[in-house]
Amino acid sequence: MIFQRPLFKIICWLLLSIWVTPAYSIAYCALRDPVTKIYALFPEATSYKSIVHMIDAETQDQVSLKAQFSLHKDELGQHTLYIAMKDKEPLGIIHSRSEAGLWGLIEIVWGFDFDMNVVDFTFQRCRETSCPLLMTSSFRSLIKGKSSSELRAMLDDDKIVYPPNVAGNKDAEALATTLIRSAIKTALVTEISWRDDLDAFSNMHIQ
Amino acid sequence: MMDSFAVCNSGEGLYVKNASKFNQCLLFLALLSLSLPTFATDNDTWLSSIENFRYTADVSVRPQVELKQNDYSHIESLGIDTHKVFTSKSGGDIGTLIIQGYFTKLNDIKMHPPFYSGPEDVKFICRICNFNLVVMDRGKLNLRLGHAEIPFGLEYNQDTNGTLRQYSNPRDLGNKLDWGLAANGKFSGGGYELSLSRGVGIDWRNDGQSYIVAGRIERNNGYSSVIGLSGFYGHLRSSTASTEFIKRSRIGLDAHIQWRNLSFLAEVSVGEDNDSDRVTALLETDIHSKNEKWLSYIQLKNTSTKPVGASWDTIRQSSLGVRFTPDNSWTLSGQWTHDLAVMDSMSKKSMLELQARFRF
Repeated sequence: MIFQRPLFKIICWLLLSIWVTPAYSIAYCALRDPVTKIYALFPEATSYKSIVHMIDAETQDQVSLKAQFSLHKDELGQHTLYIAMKDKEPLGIIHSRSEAGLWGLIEIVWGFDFDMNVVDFTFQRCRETSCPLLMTSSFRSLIKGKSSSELRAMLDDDKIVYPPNVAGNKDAEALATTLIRSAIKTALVTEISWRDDLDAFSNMHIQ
Repeated sequence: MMDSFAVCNSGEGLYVKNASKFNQCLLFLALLSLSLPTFATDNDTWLSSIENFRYTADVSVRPQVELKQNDYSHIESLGIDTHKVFTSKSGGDIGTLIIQGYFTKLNDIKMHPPFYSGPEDVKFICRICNFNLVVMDRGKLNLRLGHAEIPFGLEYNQDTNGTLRQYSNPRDLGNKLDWGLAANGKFSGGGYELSLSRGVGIDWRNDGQSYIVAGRIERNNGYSSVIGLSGFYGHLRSSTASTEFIKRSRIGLDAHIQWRNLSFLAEVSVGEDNDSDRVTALLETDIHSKNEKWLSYIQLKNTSTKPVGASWDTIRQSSLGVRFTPDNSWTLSGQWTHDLAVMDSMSKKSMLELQARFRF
């Protein structure tokens, strides 16, 4: 019977293998929304709205053009943007991104306003000993309110004046730079991949 | 097209009648793949046009050999993993639907879980199939309805469905999934889940006499360490002839601590199966590479039972495993599980398992 033949199986596997889309290596039941972080970044929020969108090779190319670094291929695929809501009023944008750290991936949850200025950030996952140093208000105030172009200027001109608890600590300075790059990348990816969704969302709520 | 699947509902879940039907399922999925454009992007397929919807085909092959008797067997699985978030037009999220349907084929698996009918069985399993409905603001209360993990122990935060690496729930509770209803929520620094389920496990059976009540509450330090307290009470149908039902109770404590690229996980539970005392424990240390593509782990597992009027008897195992994730599609794993101590009536085993998993 044809269904029992090894050649049949091989042909089926080959047919399957050409249907390759950017996937997510872990099962979807393991996906977790950063629920408590959303409400930590926007304390007035009562709920949030998810917008799932594809980050593809085109987004990767556009980020490369606008920043001096690019997205890793593992960052492609479907990702979720969250809109923090107070009843029906949108308060801001939450986007979680992963960055390579000294001891593994660091998951940073970013809060932005609708002009894509940094509202604040927090860590969802961080193994670095310097993470608590970067969570202090002195570093957070350094990047709060800044747009991606202002953050890029900080990196390009090497104008980062680290707060006293970070300056001189090489690990903390490296993590601070990683955070600034992550903020730039997250803002650019959001602007490129979610702009249509955000415009539609904003228009709906302005009306 | 569905006729070619020739699945039959026996009342204890969906069974595919024989192995050739598994291959027909494979052909169906292959033909489906041809109906969709190659290298699809978000705007290319009708599936991708569904708002807030993720879907992935998931194929795995798992050869395994029992080293002491040189007994070779293998398991293949083929499924679809889907995830859909429902949102209101003017407000926030309404709920999340997860459907994971897998055809699994056993090939000479003598020590198979009880929900398979034999060592060569082919079966459709709905792994995680539930809808989690938002009930209260700020994530305080959601209601989950369907087939979900029993909220107990380390398993709650670690996804092990379809993987070689497992925690204590299958051997301690008898199953890690059940059909039912659960209340769950998050609060600053923690979360909870409380479930009432049918006590039937993988299959939907019309059995009004079995049930499970389980719950877990956890505290975390924000982003690196978690401690959880779990409880379980089940009135479950027994697979042995000596008794029709088992009254199973457990209290469990679990913890997960991270330090640099190491993780330390532990869980212990104590309780009773009818009048037999039982203690189950697991310790794990794992280490990953800087980019987290490589993970290796060692587990020590202990199960001790004490029937009425008898002394304690213990099963002790060690597992050494490695997982390599070269990209977002492939996961390659290996695990060696060795019996350190077994009960008097059993013989020691040493099992080497390999798994290649491809998601696309």
